[in-house]
Amino acid sequence: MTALALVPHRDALPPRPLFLRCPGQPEREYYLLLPVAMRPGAEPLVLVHGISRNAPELVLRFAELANRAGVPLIAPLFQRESFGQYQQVLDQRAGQRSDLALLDILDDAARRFGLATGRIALFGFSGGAQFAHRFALLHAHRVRVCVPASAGWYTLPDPALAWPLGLAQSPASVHPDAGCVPFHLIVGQRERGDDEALRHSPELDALQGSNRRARARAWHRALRKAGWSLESSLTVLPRTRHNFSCAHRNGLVETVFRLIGQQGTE
Amino acid sequence: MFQDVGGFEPQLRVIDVLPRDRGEPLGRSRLEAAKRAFTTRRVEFVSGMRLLRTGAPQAGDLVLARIASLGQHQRLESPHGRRAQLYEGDEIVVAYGERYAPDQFEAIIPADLGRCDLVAGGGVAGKVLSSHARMKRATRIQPIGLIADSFGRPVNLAQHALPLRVLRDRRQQVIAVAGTSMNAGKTTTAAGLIHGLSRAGLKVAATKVTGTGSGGDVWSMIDAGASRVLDFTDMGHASTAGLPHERIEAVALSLIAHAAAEGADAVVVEIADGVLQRETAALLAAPAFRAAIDGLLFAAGDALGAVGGRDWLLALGHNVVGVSGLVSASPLATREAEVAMGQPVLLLDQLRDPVLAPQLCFAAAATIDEA
Repeated sequence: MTALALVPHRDALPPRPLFLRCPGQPEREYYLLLPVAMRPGAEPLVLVHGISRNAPELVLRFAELANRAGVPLIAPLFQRESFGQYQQVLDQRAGQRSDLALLDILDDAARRFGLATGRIALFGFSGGAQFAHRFALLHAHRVRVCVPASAGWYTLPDPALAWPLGLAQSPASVHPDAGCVPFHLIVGQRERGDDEALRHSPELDALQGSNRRARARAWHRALRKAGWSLESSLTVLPRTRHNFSCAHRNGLVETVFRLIGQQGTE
Repeated sequence: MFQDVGGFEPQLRVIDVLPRDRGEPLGRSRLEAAKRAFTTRRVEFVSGMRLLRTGAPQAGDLVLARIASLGQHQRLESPHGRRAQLYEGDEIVVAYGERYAPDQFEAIIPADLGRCDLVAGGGVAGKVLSSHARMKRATRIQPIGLIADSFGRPVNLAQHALPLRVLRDRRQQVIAVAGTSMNAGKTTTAAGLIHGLSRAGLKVAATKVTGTGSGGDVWSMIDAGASRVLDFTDMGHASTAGLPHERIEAVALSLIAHAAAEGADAVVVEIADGVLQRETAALLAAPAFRAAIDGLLFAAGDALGAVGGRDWLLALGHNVVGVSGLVSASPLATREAEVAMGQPVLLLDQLRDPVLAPQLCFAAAATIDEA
């Protein structure tokens, strides 16, 4: 009988992110992480930053599980100068459409790295969550699943309210399949208070509530009431305040991979 | 099976007959009362230490010395960074080392325990060969003796160093900072980048791989937000001046490996002196070092240095991710450099920017991995 030495299992180290610009479109910028063992046609997970523009931090924190699951990561960088109000899809001051910028980025990643960007899993944190759900409403055919985490407020499925509070006068027509996209909301258990980045107005507070947790619940209810995707869900992260590092410590990344159907164990 | 029995016996005699000079007892209280330098910070003093009044000092040996007369360095940096005022007659604990500092002193290790100089405020004893015109005469010190362990063996920084470590697979992005010369703004540039990366939510480790032992750069990197900072003194060297290239390369790669092992997202590596200094030039030209870093940020003292240094590094095959440094403090010099280089000079505010700093860091490998 031959004795085999016990060697601890060690996953391959995740590769490092790359910072890229779309050729000829220098304001289209993104971070990309390609897993070591990427399956052909693997669906990318798109990570959208909040107003701190922490795109590289998102990629680095998702890197290990993404590498394990063979999921490529794309994190657009919406610079303040060009895309000040990227969360609302249209920046009124610069006249730039952040949704179109993401579509260009997806095309660039597909062309240069052979990624299957026709359908994506879309995650956003805080301001990025605002963008993510609004992008999914306008480009539902490109989004298989959307995970908005800790958004400040939401676009309600109400055609009578003006964009970005509702669907009327949206920057582009709302996609007919918007109601089919599964939206898996995440919010921190301790996001029940106010924070300086949270927008308030009498109308918004009356429609959605006065804090992130109340607003997530309100939007989730509104989706169900409108008869949109029944697969949608709301997850409350325990002991989590409005801070990405805190959410990361409390299992945000694992939760996202579970919600998009990637356990990160392949 | 000895081929030369006659050659072996004298060796035995040397071992057996020559009594070891174990020196005299050195009270722990005396050691603790002495002003101790930053370079000696990894050494733990214990009871039963000895003092050797004779011997030829080696690089890294610890020496108990008395201040004979004050000169250029009137303060000694403590292991905790406090710059302690020196007085004539003070007893200090410093380490022997060479120094190569065009703006300060050129110094070597003396052959004996005769009077010598304090050649760096971080605690380096040496014999001054030349000094910059602006320098005062060096502070003179009178060695009392080498500090030894209870067996009479000199205590050397190398005995308390981190082990050499092989740099294997790494997931961290490694960015080096080199410069035109001493005082070209390398540490400020490195600290700026560290600050920008940490503000972006990244965990940053930092290391200074060559130079003369001094806490200033280490504290500056810690203050900028680095989660851990190591320098060559952690590898057992009071100074890297005069070390053979193989040793400097091994020290540099080990420091990067130790820093990378701390779970950081990025490692910032500062290389001392100018790119034309002998040891720095050899390190930058070494294939193993080039392979260990993903990009290089160049700190220039002036416009001509910016152009010349950047081109010199590009010719060596380095990925120069940006040019910054002292030149960026002058709008006119910045303009000159930008026109000559055809690329912008990075200002300190840009390095500290949490959006721009990661771009510099991760753009480094963009062309490598593109399909």
